[in-house]
Amino acid sequence: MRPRSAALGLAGAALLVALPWLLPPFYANLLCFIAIYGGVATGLILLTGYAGLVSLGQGAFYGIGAYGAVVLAGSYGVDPWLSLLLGTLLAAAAGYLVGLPILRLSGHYLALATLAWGIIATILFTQLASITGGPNGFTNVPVLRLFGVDFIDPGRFYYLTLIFAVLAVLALASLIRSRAGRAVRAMRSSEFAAASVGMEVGRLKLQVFVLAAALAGLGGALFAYFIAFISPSAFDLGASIRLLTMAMIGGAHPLGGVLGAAVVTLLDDVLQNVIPNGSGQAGLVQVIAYGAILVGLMLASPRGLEPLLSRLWRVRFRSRPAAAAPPDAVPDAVPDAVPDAVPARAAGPGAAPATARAAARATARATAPATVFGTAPATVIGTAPGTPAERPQAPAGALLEVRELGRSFGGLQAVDGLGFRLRGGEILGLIGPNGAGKTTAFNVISGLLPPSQGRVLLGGDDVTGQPAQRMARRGLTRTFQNTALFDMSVLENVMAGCYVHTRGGVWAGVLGLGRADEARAEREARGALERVGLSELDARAPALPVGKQRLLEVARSLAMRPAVLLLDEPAAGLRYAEKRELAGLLGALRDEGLAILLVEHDMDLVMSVADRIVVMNYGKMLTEGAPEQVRQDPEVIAAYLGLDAA
Amino acid sequence: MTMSTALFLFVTGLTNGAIYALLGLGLVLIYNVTRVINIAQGEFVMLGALTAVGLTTGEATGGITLAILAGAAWALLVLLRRRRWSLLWLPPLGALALSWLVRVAGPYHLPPLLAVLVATVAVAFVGAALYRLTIQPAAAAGEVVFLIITTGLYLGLQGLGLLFWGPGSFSFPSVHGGQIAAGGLRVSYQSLFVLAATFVVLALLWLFFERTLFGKALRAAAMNRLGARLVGISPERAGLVAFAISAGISALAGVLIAPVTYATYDMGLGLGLKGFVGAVIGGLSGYPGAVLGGLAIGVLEAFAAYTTSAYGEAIVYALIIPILLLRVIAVRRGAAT
Repeated sequence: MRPRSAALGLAGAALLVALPWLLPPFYANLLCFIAIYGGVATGLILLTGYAGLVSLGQGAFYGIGAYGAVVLAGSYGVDPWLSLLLGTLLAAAAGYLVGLPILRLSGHYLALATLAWGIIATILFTQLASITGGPNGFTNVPVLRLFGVDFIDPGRFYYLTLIFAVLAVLALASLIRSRAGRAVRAMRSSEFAAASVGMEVGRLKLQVFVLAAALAGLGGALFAYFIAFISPSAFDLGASIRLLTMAMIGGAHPLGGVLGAAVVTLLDDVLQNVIPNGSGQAGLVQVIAYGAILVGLMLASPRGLEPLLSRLWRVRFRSRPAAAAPPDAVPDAVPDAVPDAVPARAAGPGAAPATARAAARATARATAPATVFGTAPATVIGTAPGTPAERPQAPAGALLEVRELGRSFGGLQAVDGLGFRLRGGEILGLIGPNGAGKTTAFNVISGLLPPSQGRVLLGGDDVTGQPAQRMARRGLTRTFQNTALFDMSVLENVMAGCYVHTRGGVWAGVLGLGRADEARAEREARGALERVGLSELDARAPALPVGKQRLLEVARSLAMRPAVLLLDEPAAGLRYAEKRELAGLLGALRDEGLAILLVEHDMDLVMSVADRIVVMNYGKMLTEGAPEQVRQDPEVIAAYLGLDAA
Repeated sequence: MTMSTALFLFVTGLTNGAIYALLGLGLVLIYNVTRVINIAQGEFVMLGALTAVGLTTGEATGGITLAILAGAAWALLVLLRRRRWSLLWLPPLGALALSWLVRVAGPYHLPPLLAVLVATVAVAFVGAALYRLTIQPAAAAGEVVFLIITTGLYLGLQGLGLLFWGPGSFSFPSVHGGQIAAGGLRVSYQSLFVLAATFVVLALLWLFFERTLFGKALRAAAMNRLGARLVGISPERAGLVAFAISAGISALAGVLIAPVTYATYDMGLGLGLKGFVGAVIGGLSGYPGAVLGGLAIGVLEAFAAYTTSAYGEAIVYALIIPILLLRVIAVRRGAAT
């Protein structure tokens, strides 16, 4: 397969290079426009298609790049090539400044904010006439020249635009398969789940926004040099909608932008030729046609051409056959790479009695005082899973401590005065009738909701009110009652769980760096999946049956190497045999030193795996104790069965 | 700035603001019932104004043609859904015949009041048809898809406006010419009328939602689609009615503003956005809030345009961003306490 795809790539590249000679001269113009718009739309596809952030103001960044470049070169004598770079940087800077406030908005509010920004930019382009030439446009555009070769002729300029479009497509293709790209796609599926595996959602959004703005800026700069005259109308709302149309036609695929640009540009051309009396009518029909295409496309295929493209060209992540290293060698490879904030629970998923090296390290740690967080929840590490009797003493301090925790919604006190301590190597069951406040307690402890009162301590540090991604980085993660999986393959979901202990941001993703981390994440993800007993590695996660989705969430959490694991009804939707396997898994994880907080309605399961149980009712703590003790508590029976039964 | 200038600006602002308020009412109505933010709201204003103009002065009556076409498309959709293949020829033929009739019977010189009525009903029908044809089929797709669809509607309707009426600007006779002078301030009757109409519409909406069963059903559908369905209210019908009423209100706004500012094919987007800013100031779900917000935007715009002429528009648009942010913060704070 490899040589064949390489040959195909070469043939494609040759075709792209030869295009100006193969087509009549007139088409060179169109090719330039397709490549320029294609590159810009590729950025918009990252923003809209992958990150789910709709921009109706991309024309503004496009215009800033254009004006920035040619005004600097034409009015201030900056070297034209350098001005391309400066125009791009200007657009990126504008993207940063605009994105910083408005990315706090989401959905259609964000789209409207970008729309407003686009209109403001158009007004500025028009009103700052002393710089931009105002509505009459800016004409003093120098020529791009390299070693005495002028880039004026469209057939020649095409190569500049081709480089731009190809780089944009390659950057997007590389990014979306990387760690950061996975995070971008993950946060689109569920921001909560993304945060709970430690992804910095806000920062990722801003980076993606800036990247798309930079691509728009560079495209705008090239556009300005290409047509050697720019006026505000080229960057107005119509331009923004045009770019968005291209992105929507393309859909979430690296090639979507170029394809969308080709469709729209060629359509323009056809419309112009079909309607004879050139001037007004053609533009008019064009506008109506855009409107009709946008509406029709959204109704017929909201994903654009992406389904078609994906079938033709598999760039989506597919798992390779298992890597050389067997899964049980994995844990040994990782602990050194763990970022310092993460409590390294050395026994990674798939951990069995570790290799000699890990064992040696574990011994060394076991003798050290149990400084829980910051270094590692030490004593429990590396101990072989044994019977409970052989289990080593859990660390003296609790890994998770909750004090007088309360959370109210308006007048409703959903959680009131909840307090407990959870040690490593312990399973604490949190039970109570429906509406007792268990899930709210989970949301507060995991950082998705700030508490109204009380404290949350993680490894002795006060982490009250810290956001979920911070909690995740400190080694606490959770699963969701209504599973919150990412819309990607099963394997990728679990690899997304490796986010906190791998490296590589958006820029690394664009440049294709961090392959070693990726390989490690994949190995670890395979280990975690094996551990929970899932084998459908390439299936789309949301298409799994509910029971498997729950196991997948557990696997994703394990891939984080957490110290504290919060499970919200992990057994709901599981069959009897699956529940028994889950119970076995939870026991094994406890024996490895994990602290587990378990909300579950299946009493048999809770009673059999939990070491202690906390009972909640109407937001308040009813009692705490060993399973047998709780089972006989009259108050608990009353809460579950009604007062009369007690 | 002298006192009389300020007063003048204030009244001008209120007049424009009343139009934004009417648009805001329409936007909020649609948003409440269907969760659609309608970028094309202003196009209903344009259609209403220009159609009414056409009906009185003998110019084109595009809104009527559009209503006929939209109705034919709607009928086609219904026939396709019901698999009545043998009747498929009927809507196109009917549309052709009707359009021909409308054309032959023209040019029209209807009395203004009748023209307003016809234009409003036609645009309301167009609104309902567009809901049925473009929004309802995408009901499961979510808010961003809606936004892109209504962006497409905006483009299409604006293009049709240009096709029907060309780039010229048109005026519409005032309800009552002349102005009243009070203490050095002259206020045209039209301004007063616009303001009064806004509050009448607000009052009617209140009556509709509070005092009629159907209005309450609409509110129920807005709050909880599934719940409404379970008690026998169709969210689809609710959406249809919301679009029709909203488009009708906007068309009326167009007719009211046409004598004050001229009506052009591209008047819609700016009006719609300002109406939206006003509605968001008012909280996006409350009708009185939308009216107050719209009035505030109108006054602010008048003063901004006077003091920093070139950037008046920009200032109003720039307000969208902080207002949206404040709203998000307010919602989060509300959830936290």
